[in-house]
Parts: sequence; C-alpha cells; structure tokens
Amino acid sequence: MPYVVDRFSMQDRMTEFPWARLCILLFAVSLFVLGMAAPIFMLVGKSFYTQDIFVGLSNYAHYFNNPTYLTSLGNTLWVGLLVVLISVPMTYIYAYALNRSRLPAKGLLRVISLLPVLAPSLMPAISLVYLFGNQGILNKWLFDQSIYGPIGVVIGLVFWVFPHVFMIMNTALSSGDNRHYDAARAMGAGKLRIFFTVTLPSVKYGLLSAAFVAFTLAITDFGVPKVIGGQFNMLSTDIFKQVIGQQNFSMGATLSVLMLLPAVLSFIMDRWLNRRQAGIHDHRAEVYCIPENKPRDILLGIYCLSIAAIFIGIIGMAVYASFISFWPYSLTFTLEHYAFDVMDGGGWDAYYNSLYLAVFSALLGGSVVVMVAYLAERLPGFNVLRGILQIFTLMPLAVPGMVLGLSYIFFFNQPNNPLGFIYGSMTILVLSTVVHYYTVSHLTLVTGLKKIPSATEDVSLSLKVPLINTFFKVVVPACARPIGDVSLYLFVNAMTTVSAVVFLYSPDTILASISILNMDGAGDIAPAAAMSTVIFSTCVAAKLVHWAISHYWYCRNV
Amino acid sequence: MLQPAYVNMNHLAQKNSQVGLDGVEDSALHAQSHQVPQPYLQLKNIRRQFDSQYVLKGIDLELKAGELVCFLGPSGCGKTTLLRAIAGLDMNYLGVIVQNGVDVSRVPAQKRDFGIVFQSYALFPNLNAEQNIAYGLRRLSKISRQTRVDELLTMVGLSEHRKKLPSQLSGGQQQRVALARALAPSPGLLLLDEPLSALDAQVREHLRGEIRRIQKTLGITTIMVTHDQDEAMAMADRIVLMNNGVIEQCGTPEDLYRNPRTPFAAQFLGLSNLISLNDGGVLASGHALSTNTRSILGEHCLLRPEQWCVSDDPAKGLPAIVTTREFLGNCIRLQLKMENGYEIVAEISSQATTLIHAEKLYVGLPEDHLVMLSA
Repeated sequence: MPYVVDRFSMQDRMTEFPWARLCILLFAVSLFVLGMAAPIFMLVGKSFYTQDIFVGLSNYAHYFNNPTYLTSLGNTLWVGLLVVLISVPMTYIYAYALNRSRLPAKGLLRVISLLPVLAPSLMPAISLVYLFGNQGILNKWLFDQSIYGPIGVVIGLVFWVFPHVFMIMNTALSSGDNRHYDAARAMGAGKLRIFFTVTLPSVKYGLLSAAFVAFTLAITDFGVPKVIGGQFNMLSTDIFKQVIGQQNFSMGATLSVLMLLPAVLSFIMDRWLNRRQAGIHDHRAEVYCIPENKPRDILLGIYCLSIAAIFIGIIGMAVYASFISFWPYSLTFTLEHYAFDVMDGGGWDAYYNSLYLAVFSALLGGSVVVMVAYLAERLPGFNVLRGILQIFTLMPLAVPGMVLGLSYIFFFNQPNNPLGFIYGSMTILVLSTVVHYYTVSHLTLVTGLKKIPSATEDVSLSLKVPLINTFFKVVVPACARPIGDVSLYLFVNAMTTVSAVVFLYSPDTILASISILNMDGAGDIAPAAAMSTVIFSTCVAAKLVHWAISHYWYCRNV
Repeated sequence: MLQPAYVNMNHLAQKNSQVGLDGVEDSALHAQSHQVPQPYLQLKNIRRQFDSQYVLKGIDLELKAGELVCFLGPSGCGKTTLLRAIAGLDMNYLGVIVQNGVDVSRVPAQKRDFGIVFQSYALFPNLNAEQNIAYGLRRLSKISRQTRVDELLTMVGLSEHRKKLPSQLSGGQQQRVALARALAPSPGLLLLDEPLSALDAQVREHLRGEIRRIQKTLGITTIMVTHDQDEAMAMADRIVLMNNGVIEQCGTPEDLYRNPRTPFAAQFLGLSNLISLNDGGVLASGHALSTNTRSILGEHCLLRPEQWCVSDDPAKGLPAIVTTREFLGNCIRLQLKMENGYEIVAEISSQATTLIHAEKLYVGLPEDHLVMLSA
C-alpha cells in the first residue's frame, strides 16, 4: 500500500534529526534561490532597464527594429532546425543499428558515438578549421564555400549534440517490446506496416524529445559559433559581444531573455513528453528479438563505420594538429604547443583551475545532489519545502549556460549584495557549474533511489538503527553506481563547459576551456587544439577510472 | 536435530529482553509480574483519517501473548494501516495502544518493541544474508552477534547461503532472510505484512508452515496481514476479519467458517450459498427444503457448498440442472440451476461416481447446517 502523505504527517513523522534535515533542506532551497531564481529574476528585470532607468519594453522594441539582430535571431532558429533535421535521423539510424541489427562490436560503436561528450564544443570547431579551413586538408571538398559560417557551425553542432540525442534515441529503441512485433507478424503485417504501426509509435516520444533537446543545445551553444562562425552571427555570440565587447548589459539581458524563452518552452515540451513516455512503459515487455538479415546488417555496418570514422577523424584531427609544428608548412612533431605557460590565455594554471573546479564540482556537487535527492524523495515531512525543491531541481535544465552566467553578473556583482565577495572567485564557478548541471544529476539519483526497497526506512526504524546509519550503510552503497555516474557527469561538464563560466572567470580563476577560446581568438589555433586535447584526455582518463571502479564494483556484487 | 538451537534461542531471547532495548520494556516486565492473564496487546478505539475519510473507524482488539492473529480483508479495508499504527510507522492515528501493559500510543517506532516483515522483503540490496540479519544487532558484541546470526540462519535453513546477496536468493529465501532479520533482536511482537503474497503458490504453502512452526517454537505474539483467506485459515489462532475500516468479525478460523455473523463474513471465507429469505427463494418453492421454515429467522441463510445433500433420488430433494462442472481433484464443484431460477454452488466428493456425470440432480437441505445471518 503506497504511503499517503497528509497534512498531519509533518509533526508526527519527523522521527529523527528533524533539525538537521530541516537545515539541509533549507540549505538546498537557498542554494537554488541564490544560485538560480534570484539571478534569473534580476536578469529578466534588467532587460526592462537601460542605465538603471526603467524603459519598459523599449529594449525589446529596439531589438526587433534592428535588422542585424533579427538576422542573427533568424540564423539561430534556422541553424537549430537544420541541426534537428540532420541529427535526429542520423542518430536514429545509428541507434537503430545498435539496437535492432546483428552488428558486431556494438559496444565500441557506442563508445565512439559518446566521445563528443568528453570534448569541449570548441574542439570539433577547431578540427573543422584544420580540415576545411583556408589551409585545410579537405578544403577542396567544400567547392569554394567557406567553412567559417553556417556550414561549419552546423557540422560542429551536429557532432557535438550527437551523443545527447543518441542517448535518448537509444533508450527509446532499446525498449521495443517483442510481443507487439510477434502480434503484428502473426496478423500478417508487412515490414512497412510494422514500422508505421509498431516501431514508430513506440519511439515517437523519444523522437520528439530528441528533437527538442537537439534544438535547445544548438540554439544555446556558444563554443562552436564563436570559433567557426566567422561573420555568421547567432544569439549566443550576440550576447557575448553585447556583454564583453560593448559592455551593454541591458541589451545582453534582453537577448538572454530571448534565448531563455525557446529553451524554457522546449524544456516544458520535453517534460511533458517524458511523462507520456513513462506512461507507455510496460515492465512485462519482452526484449526485442532481432531477426537475421544480412543486407540490413551490411548497410547499417557501412553507415556506422562511416560515422565512427568521421567522429574519430574530427577528434583525431585536433589531437594530431596539436603535435604539428606549423600547419601546413612544417609537419614535424613538436610539443611546443603544450608550453601554455609562454602563451597568453592562462597557461597551465588554467588547466589546474579547471581540474580543481571539476574535482570540487564532482565531490561537493555530488554530495549535495545525493543528500537533497534522498531527503526530497524518500523521507516524509517538510512537505512544502520538499515540494519547492522538486520544482527547483528541474528548472536548471531550462536555463541556458550563457543566461545563467550573465544573470550571476547581475546578481553577485551588485554593490549591496552581501554575497558579492564570491564574485570572481572559484566558489562562483563551482556554484554555477553545479546549478547548471543539477537536473540531470538529480534525476539520475532519483532513478537510483527508486531501486532501493521502499520499506528500507521502516525496516531501519523497526530494527532500532538510526536512519543516518542506514543512509551510509545501505542507501549510499546501494546507489554507488548512480553516484559514480553523477560525479563523472559533473566532472566532465566542469572540464568542458564554456557557456556559463565565460562571464564569471577572473584572471586568477581562468579555466582551460576559456583559454582555448582566448588562444583561438588570438590566432594561436595550434595551442588551442593542444589545450582541447589535454581536456579531452583528462575526461577520457576520468571515464576510464569510472569504468574501472564500476566494473570492479559490478564483479564484486554479482 | 534442530531442536537445541531453538531452546538456546529462547533462552537468549529472555536474556535480551531483560537487558532491555529501552526503558519501556523494563517497566513492562514489572507490570506483567503482578497480573498474569493480562492481554499482550490492547487496541482501544483506533481511528485513522486520510483526507477527511476514515480508513479505520474505531478498532478495539485484544491479543493474548503467544498467539498468531491474522488481519484478513479485501484491499483497502484498513488492515495494513492498522498494522502500521501498531508498529508506530504511522503515528497519525487516534486511540490507545497498550503493549505489554505499557501505553505506547505516542511512542515512535524506534522505541517500540516489534519486528516487521514486508511483502516486498525490503532486504538491503548491498548487504549479504548474514549482514542483513545482523543489521539490528549492532549493540551486541561481535561474538554474540555471530552466534545469534548462526542460530537464526539455522532456524530458517539458510546456513549455506549466508554469504549471498539478496539478488542471488530466490523469493522464498529472501523472505526467510527478512523473517530472520526481524526476529534477530528478539522482539516481543512480530508483524507480518502480506509476507507471502509475492511468492509462488508452492513456496507460499511451504513457507506458511515454516513461519507457523517458528512462531510456535518461539512463542512470539504475531500479527499477520493477509488478503488470502486460505492462508489465514491455515495459520491463524484467531482471524480478525476487516471490512471498510471496522472489524467485521473476530474468532477462530473454524468459528468464522461455521458461524459467520454477516453476509460479508460468509462470502469472504470460503464459498457459500447465501439465500435471501425475504423473497421466498428456494425455501418456499420446494417441499424438501421447506419442511421446517417457521423455525428459520433472520434475512439470510447460509449454506456451504459441501453441505448440500446431492443425490440422484427424486425423493431426496428438488430437481436441479447441472450448468457447469469443475473437477478439483478431491471434489467436484457443480453450478446448479433450480427450477425456480435459483443458482447454487455445491461440492460433491469425487468418489461419488454415480453423480459425477449426471445432467440432472436432486438437492436437499440439511436443516442442522443452516446458519442464520441477520444483516
């Protein structure tokens, strides 16, 4: 019988450590209020002001009367749509091959498709410069079109969003129910009819959700258009120019609100779809049984190999270029591009800062996420606080990194904010990273917590063992896998992110990903490739450590 | 061969409760030493509300020490809610609970003396069988903890599986571990929340006997919640039949089966033919069934399927057409349609070869078996 929470339960079920629990919950709520709600509120407010004078909607009017802005808004939208139209079918076929064919080495193909997650979005852009730039090795393939512009932006974005879209597709396709296929075949349905009546309905929410995610990522990314966009402006580069170039914060805020709107809309649609998707899941589903079909396997094999080759080529190009002394004139091997300390852009300190940020985000963020998810999802009492938290934990997914970063400037850089001292410190970078990537982490842990028997806390009480012991002895070990996943996720994103932190770093806290941006901006493209390679290798190493630990864990427990 | 272990365990159980897990128990012991025939558990007017709707509408009940009582009823009748109130896992009830002479109504779960087993086993997935059982024994020294765990593993017959994780055990084995874990701290009261419902029929039947054997050996007062009438009948000293938040009837299994007081009780326990007396029914329509109608009072009379006198002799009852016939092994269940349209269920022995394949039978009523129901 499900436990029903009612209005009497607050007082009576606060059985253990009510004050500690209240403190943690209040801390979590204040984290979201100070780290998200208040800054975003200020940012939206700022878009109605110019130089501290209330001007109503005139900033927006100004925006929509300016043809340059409108062009870049249009650019953003059509690039977003194009990325959706290319990446969704592309990932669908790839995920289809990995789930519905008898290809060998599926594990390897899967790993390759997820590689872009481990690289900053600047890395594919840099590779594209080397491949198709004015002196690129494949320059001729573009028929005199320039890679600096929409072509490069779209290719770079498709590469970068691929793993995110692939994961959604993979989930949708892996849940195919064999019983439906058997039933359809038994009633004599042909291949086409089966596709339209069984396959498509079962993945339609996945497809739509993938489309929304691809669109949001494409319109909010900053790294790719910054490096390879050239004169091609998009919303994210406009925000950067307004804030960093012209110091026009009001216009920056206005543009941010315009970026926030489609992201929020897309987020709401995605949540709605997720709920629908959860509704059609059936735990009695049988695993899809893959029929033998050689031609299909060969075609899909060629397709997957080409994609994998392109991915390795794109990443490999940046790695390779970072060891070449002077592209394309002197192709001798060198390590001089890794001597970051003699270059502008932050030097190796930038890398150590990134590492520091990543470790802190993973450890601190990971612990906060575990505690909050446990208190919010599993322990009764404090219903109002828990309700607020449940909404707050979902919101970060709807806030683009650049919007979050800019809103922090408005909030923490205010002269009368007592928390102003964290502005320009590492703390604000950790805060923005943890908040920015909170939702996915939280949802991962909630899923993990649901797998622990629901009566665990009751058993603990009946055996007179304090809940805090059970939390450390049962809940944490039983959730080791999701906790590891979340830590890795936070680590990797802290290493690679540019969008939120680009507004928040100071000379002392410059990050590796930012230094790529700066070196690329200064024309030092080979060192930029080198720094990308360092970040990428660090993330691969983290992934390997994670894999080794979870593999060891798995072997020990099964 | 297993016997010495239990003797040993009883001894240990006593020792444990003397040491006392908390103050409640010590005082309880003193209270008990004066009056002997006091009930172990008393529930007085227990009420529980969910959103302005009462799911428990004033439950009064007394449990004797050492008996096994089943809370039986359809889902939503309030039996699990009542169990959670007794455990203190739900504290939002009104009323008084006295355990072992001490009012524990406002005592939270971790200060009450009970062990609980859930339908879902709720074993800790990261701990092996042994560690799960030892979980509530953290106050004991390492050696006595190990001794106690060994005893319990022997008792539930899982000594060879002690190092296995829950995921490596079958459902039945998991439930044994859960039982051992609940019994480990030697609680005075054992609560079983649908402990067998998640198991296969055969395992369920076996574990049924196992639980009953252990319960009798330890002499532990036990409450089991179930919606399965067979289970309740097979295991319980007394059944508390619940419906809609009230106790419908309470008594031994035999008493409930033979003398149900309400139509609900009659229909929930075993198959029954309920015959309404208001519309005349069967009784008015045939001579064989109506010889002594004047002595029948109340609104319904009840007849169990095996109580009909079924024969192929037209002199011994009213004619009835056989509509369906189920072969159940030891007996045959017949759906019979009387001439006046009444449908009844009867069971005849599968040894009665002359009746098995008949299309038309004659049904008589043994008056000494009639039970009158007032409601």
